[in-house]
This record gives sequence, structure tokens and C-alpha cells, in this order.
Amino acid sequence: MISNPEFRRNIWIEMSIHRLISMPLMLSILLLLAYLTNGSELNQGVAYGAQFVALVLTMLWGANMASEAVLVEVREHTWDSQRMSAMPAWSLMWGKLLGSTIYTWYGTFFCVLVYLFTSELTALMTIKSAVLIIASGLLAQALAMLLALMFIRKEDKFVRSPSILFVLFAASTAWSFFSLAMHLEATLKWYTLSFDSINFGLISILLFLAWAWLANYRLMRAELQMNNYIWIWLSFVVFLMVYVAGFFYEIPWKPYVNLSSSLLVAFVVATFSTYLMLFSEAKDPVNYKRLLALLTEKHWHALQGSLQCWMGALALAILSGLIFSIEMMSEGMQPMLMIAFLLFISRDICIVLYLNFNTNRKRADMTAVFYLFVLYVVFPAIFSSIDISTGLFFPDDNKAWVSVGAALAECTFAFWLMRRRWLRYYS
Amino acid sequence: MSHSILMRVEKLCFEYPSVRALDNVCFEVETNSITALVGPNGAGKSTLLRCLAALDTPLSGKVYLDNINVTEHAREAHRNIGYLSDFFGLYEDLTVEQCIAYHAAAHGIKKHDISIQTLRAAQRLDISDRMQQKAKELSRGLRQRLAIAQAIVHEPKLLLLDEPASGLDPEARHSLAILFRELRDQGMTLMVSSHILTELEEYSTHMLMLKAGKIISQDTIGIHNESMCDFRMVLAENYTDLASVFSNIDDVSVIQIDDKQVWLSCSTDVFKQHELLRYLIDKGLPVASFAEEKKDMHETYLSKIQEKKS
Repeated sequence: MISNPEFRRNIWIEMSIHRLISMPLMLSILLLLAYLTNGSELNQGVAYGAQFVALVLTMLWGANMASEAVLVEVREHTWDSQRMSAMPAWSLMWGKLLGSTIYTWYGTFFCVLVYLFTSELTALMTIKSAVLIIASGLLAQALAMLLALMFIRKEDKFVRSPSILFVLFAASTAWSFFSLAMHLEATLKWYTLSFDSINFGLISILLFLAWAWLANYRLMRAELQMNNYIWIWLSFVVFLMVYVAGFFYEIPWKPYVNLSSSLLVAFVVATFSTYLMLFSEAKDPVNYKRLLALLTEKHWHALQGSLQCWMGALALAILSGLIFSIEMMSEGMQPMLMIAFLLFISRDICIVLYLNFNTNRKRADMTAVFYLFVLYVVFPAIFSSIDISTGLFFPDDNKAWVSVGAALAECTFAFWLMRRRWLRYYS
Repeated sequence: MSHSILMRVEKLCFEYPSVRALDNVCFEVETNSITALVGPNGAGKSTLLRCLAALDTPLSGKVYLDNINVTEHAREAHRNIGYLSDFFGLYEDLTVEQCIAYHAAAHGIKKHDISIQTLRAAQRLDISDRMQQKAKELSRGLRQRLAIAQAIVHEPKLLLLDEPASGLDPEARHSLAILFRELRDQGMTLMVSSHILTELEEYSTHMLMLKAGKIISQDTIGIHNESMCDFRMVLAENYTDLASVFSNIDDVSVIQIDDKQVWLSCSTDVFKQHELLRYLIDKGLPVASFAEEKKDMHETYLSKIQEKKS
């Protein structure tokens, strides 16, 4: 008997006799079609057909089910009773993730069987490809559920399900790993190492799958009112910095060819993570109030559990930016450009928080995106249209000092605005 | 008579970005009581219940359930709390039995006890004859019962109910009141929020009044005091020096004296009441009526609100 109550509940809902019969019937028809269109032979064409159906089942249908497994609980007002259960976060997470998608895995099982029997690749490659199909599906589903959990932490009331967006993002991410790995004959370089695409893709997918599961687990913990410390998130960002930088290790960064491109890429990854989380996380002023109270009362342990992910990523961005600056200086260059970058990032954060500290926070993030678009795209476009390169709104290599001055002034002004609003409403 | 305290709330504050929903809320909940949580719309009743259920984190303050800090050890507290939201949901495609069994398992009830506990909860809520019916096929009243069965299947010490009778017909409301009294008799402590004071009056032992996030009153409701209750005595004609008649009687305290009326508090023991009445008649008091005076919750509520306004 299955001991996970959430998994069992999903089986009760998903695995009716009618559905158990209809899935193999439908798949038989689809695979028969693949067989007939491939000259009535059980060849690689049929294997690809089975692979395609398996990917559709897991990456699209399965991802949608995984995302909805969370969203529907909130929408149908059953989430509170789950949050009040005694189920450990891990059980609730995997029970939901695998339980809600069980029916798609039931269908995928038949597809993978057909793939294994009809593939004309070598035995090892066939098995690797089959594992890749399963791992890609699991990754898409884990990402879809992760996005849903992030969403409900930000928006506790919603009418329209944003599931389709989550599925598209999750499926395209998993697909990019899958397609990278399926260049069967290709090799790729990561730092100084060479890998077969399929091996690298498979290892990458499994690593990101582990991170996605861990992230789901941690968000589920947060939903169950358990503390999460920021170290796991910091570890992930460092992993991402190291992982992505590996692809740019030997690519020179013009004009500073002697500088490490990897270090710059690591900075970009940390900055990207900062913005991603800044817009993804709920910026509830009450939480910041609590955070400030913990800070002033020097409750360091509790503080670690209350820090937001964007704050951790920002710390890493600053750290990697400073290391990069030191390297610039060791090469006899001015680090002004990097300082300008960091100041512009700080300005943007102040703008986002300023808008979120309003009493009406509806669409605050969208408004922030609009303002940042104006600052980074519209204003520079206007100035460049009259042939003026200013460096006022984006770090300009040729006017590094101007950029630093402008960034400092803008950052100070944005901080003043944010602080004023904070003091007005929340102090 | 001393009562043990099940829940203690200390200086609880909760804020939404633009408003303080709970402001320094302090109170205690006696074991085996039914506390009616009343207050106007937007008073903070639902927020308070969610904080007590450890579903929302307060800005500051503490909530203790049997000495467990609810905010810090939410998971531990959840084992002892049942909660029913005003907008509760059910798993529509599951049968009544599956719904309750799922919640039993989710609350960590051992495998071999699940079916026993499921049946027990269903019987307590009087829905054991509908075990194979799907949740989506149930009426509003039965859905409410199923939701409560889910909330109590793990035998919580404290059951928090937010507007449990909203949308129910008078008959269903009455049977819900009977159910709450039964749950209390079986040892559970309940806190029920509602706008319908007459309904709360049927079963509540205590009343907690909330307005604009602040506790404005916490009272026991007289009829449920186990040793004493309030009486109103009406005299046929004026009686001089009425107060002195009562001054020497043990176990009786005078609440208020008018010309021809006396409000007093005396024992719930009917023999003692009989003795008191005989004594008063022997003293020559022209007693026209002597009846238990139920503290009208509605009046109490309105007077407290008025008091607060003035």
C-alpha cells in the first residue's frame, strides 16, 4: 500500500479504470500511425514517434498537471487544509509532483518501451536516450511546479491560472537541455574539459533536476511555515555561476582579452539571478519590517531565515563584481565600469522597492519594468538618435566617470524616494 | 472554580501593507470552552483565526497552545489544531470516505487506525450513511459537515471555525449548534467566528469581541457558568429596603436593584434556588416572577460597541 497520502489521493483522482484503458488505446493508435508512415517497419522513425509522444506527455501535459497540482489547491480553497496537515514537506512535494503526473507517466511508460524496442541506436545510446526522455520530463514538471509555488507565494489570490506560461517556460527549458544532449555525435567544451553532448546533457539535466526538486522542497517548507535559510539558494547561484562560466572560459572578452571571461559571466549570472528573484519574490513591506526588526535586535539566526533570495544573489553579484574589478586593476585598468554597473543595479532595486512600498501595490512590478525599460532603452535611444553617447542611464565604457557619477546620483535619488515612502507608511 | 488555559495570546500584532489588522491582541482560551469571536466586518476575526492556526505569521507577539509557541513551532501546533476557513474547499471527485481518510492519513494517523478514525469522524458529523457519495454531490449543509469531519479527524484539542454557518438554512444551523455542543462535551475546545449572534448564543460559553483589530471585551456568557447563573426577580409592588434582604444571604450577589426588580446571581443548583425563593417569600417579598436571565449576546455586543464609541 502506498504510504504517502498525497500520492494516494492523486492516484484516486487520476487512475480510474476508464483512464487506465483509454491511455494505451490512444497510444496504440498514435504509434500505429507512426508505424504506417514509416513504411510499416519498426525502425528508428517509430522510435522517434514514441519519443515525441513521450515528450509531449511529460513536458507539456505532465508539466501542466504539476503546475496545476499547486494552483488548483489555492483556487479551490483546499490549500490551507494541506498546509495544516502533518505531512512532511518532502512527502507533500513528491506526492504532489509524481502523483499529479502519474497518468502521464503511465502513458510515457508505454512510449519508452516502444522506443527501447524500436531504436536502432547502440544499446548504450538507446538507454541513455531513454533516461534523457524521462529526466527531461521530470525536469519540465519540477520547473512547472516550482514556478507555481513561487507564484502562490507572491499572489495568494488569482482568478486566471497562469499555468500555460509556466508550462511554456518549463518545457522550453527542459527542451533546450534535451536538444543539447541529442546532438549525439557532437562534443562540447566546458572549461578545459571535452564532453560528448549526450553525456554532458544528461549530467546537466540530472543536476538541474536535483536543484529543481530541492527548490520545490524548500518552497513547500516555506508554505508549511518552516524556516528556510539562504545558504542553499546561495549555493545554487554559485553553482549556476560556475556552470555557465564554463562555456565562456576560453572566449576572449574584447577589448580586455587578458581578463577572465568566466569571471564576467559569473557576475552576469549573479546579476541576472538578482533581477529574476527581485521580480519573482513578494516584496511585502511587512516582511521587510520584520526583517529590519530582526536586524536591529541582532537576531542573526532568524535573520538568515528571513532574507530574500534577491538579497543573497545581490551579495554574490557585488562580490563577483568586486573580484572582477580587482582583476581589472591588476591589469592596470580602471574598475569604474564595474562600479557603475553595481550602482545602476542598486538604483533599479530602489525603484522596484519604492513602487512596492506604495499602499496600492497592484502591478507595482509591471510599473517597475516599464520604468526600467524607459531608463535602459527609451532614454539611451533618444540620446543616440541625436548622436550623443552619455553613459547617463547605462554604463558607458568611454565615459566611465560620467557613468559612475550619474549612477551614484540616480541611485541616491531612488534610495531617497524609497526611504521617504518607507518612513511615510511603515516606520 | 479554576479553569485550565489551552491557548494564550500575548500582544499579537498583524499588519497588512496598508493597515494594522491586529493590534496588541491579548487573551486566553479556557480548555473545553466555546468562544464566540464577534466583531464588525473588517475587525480582524479571520486574520486572528489564521494567526492562531499558524497559517499566517504575525508581525509580533506570541501565541501559545498548551505551551507550544505556535508561530515558532507551527508544525507541532498543527497536530493539535483543526481549522475550517470561511471559504473552505473539498476534493470534489473523492468520496466522503476518501476525503476523510485522506485527511486522517495527512495528519499522521497510523495506517491501521485510519478506517476507524474515518468512521468515527463521519459518525460524529452524522454523515456515515453517505460514505460512498462524492463530495460534489453533497448539499451545502452536508459539505459543511464533511469539512468539519476533515478538520476534526485527528482529534485536535482546539477547533477554529471561521463563519461556519454562513449560507446554511436555519435547520442546518441549529444542527450545527448541537454538533458544537457535542464536540465540546467530548472534550474539544472551540473558537467560532460569526456575525450571527443568536446562533452563537446557542452554544458559546465565552465571547471575544474584536473591533478594528483590538479586543474590546472578553466575557463569559452567563448561562454556561457552571456554578452560578443570573436571575431576574420581579415584585408585585415596591418593597422598602430591598437591598438589606439580600445582604445576609450566602452564595447570592445582587447585580442591580430597581423599584420592583432585582437582578442577582445565584447558584445553578435548583434546590438552592428553591431555598432562596422560599426564604424571600417567607421574608414577605411580593415575588411575582423569578426567572433565569439569559445574557443577551446581541445586547451585550451592541452595548460594548457603543461603550467603545463613547
